[in-house]
Amino acid sequence: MNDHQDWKDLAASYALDALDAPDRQAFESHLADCVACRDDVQAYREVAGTLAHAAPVHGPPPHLKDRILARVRESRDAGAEPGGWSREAAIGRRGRDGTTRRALMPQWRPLALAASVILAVGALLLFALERSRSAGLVQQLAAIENELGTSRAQIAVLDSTLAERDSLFAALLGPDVTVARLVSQGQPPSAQLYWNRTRNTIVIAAHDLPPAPAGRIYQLWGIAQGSNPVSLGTFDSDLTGRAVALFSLPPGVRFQTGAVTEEPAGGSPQPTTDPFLIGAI
Amino acid sequence: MTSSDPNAADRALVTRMAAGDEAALARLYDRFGTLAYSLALRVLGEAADAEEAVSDAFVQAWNSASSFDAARGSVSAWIAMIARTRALDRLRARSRRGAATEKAATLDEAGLAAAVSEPGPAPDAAAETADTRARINAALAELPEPQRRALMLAYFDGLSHSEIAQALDQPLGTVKTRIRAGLDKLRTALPAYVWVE
Repeated sequence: MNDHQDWKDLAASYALDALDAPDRQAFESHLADCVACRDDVQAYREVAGTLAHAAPVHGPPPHLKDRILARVRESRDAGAEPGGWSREAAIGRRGRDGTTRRALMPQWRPLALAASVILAVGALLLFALERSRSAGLVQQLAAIENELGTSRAQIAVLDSTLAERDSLFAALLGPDVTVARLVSQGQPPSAQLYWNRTRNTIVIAAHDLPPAPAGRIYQLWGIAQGSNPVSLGTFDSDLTGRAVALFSLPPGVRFQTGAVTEEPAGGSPQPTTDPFLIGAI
Repeated sequence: MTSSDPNAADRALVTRMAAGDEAALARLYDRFGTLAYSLALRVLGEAADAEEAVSDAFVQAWNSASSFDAARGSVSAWIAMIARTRALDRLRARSRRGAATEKAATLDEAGLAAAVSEPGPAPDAAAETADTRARINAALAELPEPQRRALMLAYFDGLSHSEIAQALDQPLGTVKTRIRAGLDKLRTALPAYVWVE
């Protein structure tokens, strides 16, 4: 397998879990040191995920939601309090097992019995003591777990923000980035395009662009001479009139002009309005 | 990050789930329950099995919420991936048990039963999902038939290359290329974008 196109074929099917075992093993070992293929797999997984929408729509039965919530609550209850119980029970058991097993010779049986009764009583006392102490500990533990959960959630949010920023920086700072300016006939808005040819991505940064009206969205097009515009993606600006969006380009796409139109939400296969931002790349 | 970005809202739900917020799971189900159930029903063709698969999928989403990685894709793709895996697991377990049901026949019955009980998704999720669905179906309709069939067999029936090649009576290499070409076209038709703020 020397042609990288072959790996690309496998990346698509890998994202669908459709590789037979030999191909899968070969691809996984290739994946370990091919960044391009890892990116491909991720992009293909996202596309494959949308295939779910191709299933005919059936609403789930009404009771299903409650059933799921009940299952979650059940597993949660099973995980929290019974955990405390089993810790205490383990302490009691350890006391009994460890001592009685060694004393099971016949002549020692009555004595062993008495000893085990004493031990059992001791264990019970220990158990009660431990229980009242551990009730407090369980409470503390729950508070700590709660805090940990919140911190973990905060880290997850930071992680995803960082990852988004990383991919933006990578797209902006590559060795082979073409910058182009899109302008409108009057003054504002304006936009810059950053086309990263190595990663095949394009970033649009727009300024003084009011958010699209309800039910509408902005769409970026690549236009090559003599052919129809190709959609590069849709975006919207925030209330400050700023928009920054990163798009993966369709493989092999070529164009000399970038343009932005306003389209119905979801975008259009071809522009339905005149571009209000346009520029040569 | 605009406030109306549904991806950000979905990610926030998963974050809350990771922190143990059951209401967030309920909301996630409102948003993606219909998607997951439709997918499971399409895979399994039988309402009771589909229900089990969806239930397994959301419990798994709850348990693994803290390992959800937003950098690796959207929440809807994550839920779809889990639901599909759970449904295909059931499909494979069923065929291992030798209870290969007449899928096409039961699908109609199941569909009918589900349509009767259909409560519909939460109103705000409905428009957005309908939009996505219209786009994916339009994009699929643009694909040449052999590409579409290969993709459907891989995604909904969980078939591997060799199984698809057998089912469609086509060379293995052709199947590989078709799956890649099909996904490439969908990728072009449905450009992903990331918001940064």
